[in-house]
Amino acid sequence: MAESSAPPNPWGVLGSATDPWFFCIRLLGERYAFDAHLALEVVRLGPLTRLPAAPAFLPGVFTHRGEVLPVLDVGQLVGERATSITGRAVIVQCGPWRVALVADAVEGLVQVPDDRLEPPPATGGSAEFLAKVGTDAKGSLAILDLERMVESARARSHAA
Amino acid sequence: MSELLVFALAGRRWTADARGVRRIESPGDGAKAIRASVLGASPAGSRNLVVERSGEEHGLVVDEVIGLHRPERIHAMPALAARCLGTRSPRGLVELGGELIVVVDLQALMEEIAGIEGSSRDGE
Repeated sequence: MAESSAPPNPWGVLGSATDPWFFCIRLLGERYAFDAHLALEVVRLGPLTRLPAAPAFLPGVFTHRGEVLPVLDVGQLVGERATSITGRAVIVQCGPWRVALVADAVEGLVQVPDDRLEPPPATGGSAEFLAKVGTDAKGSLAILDLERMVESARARSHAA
Repeated sequence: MSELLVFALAGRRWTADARGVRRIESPGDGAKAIRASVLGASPAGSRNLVVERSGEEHGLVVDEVIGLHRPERIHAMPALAARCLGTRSPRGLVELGGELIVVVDLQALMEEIAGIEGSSRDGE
């Protein structure tokens, strides 16, 4: 029997096995998503400890499973408006950085067919961090280049 | 694990390596007293944490000295967070009373303040 060359499809019911998966969150009234393989865990955000001289996109740090994680406010990075830090966050692994992203709401995994994905607009507040834009049954979706966004946050660090 | 001095400043708790604190005195008793920093301001603070920097004594005025704490573990500052801050003085975090408290390097804080003050004088 020939082995299937298609990637695993554990969610299996809808969509092609080769359509990309994204993890979707809601921010500032919009739907944003990023590569699903970056998402590790959805957590209920514990008490945050603010850090001195922190930029607006870094509201603080918190402990999770014995590890101290920085919290990034994606709303501040893409839209320069604060996300309400009330509930859930998504822990992601972006290269060497493990961070928690706050969101107004978490939708979870979505699968978007390739033919529903387009290049991002050239201009606009969040265009710097957009990899693509797409649509699914629930509407439009802005696909973030999360690794670029986290690197940009790191590069905004103050000079030594 | 060395003891940490726990103090209150601008409405929250902080810690610092107790070995780095030469003495605690009232502001104006001897060492220079700094009442505002990236940690916050203590305009009415009555305790001055005196540290040595480059052979001179400098003090950080705080609202209250709470006590000493010997932590079981000090968490390192997350690297990404440390790179984003406008100060190098936070050196770690410690859990105390269910709260995550910043461990401050007071000498580094004084160095930064001295650097800012020097730049301000140069600009005059």
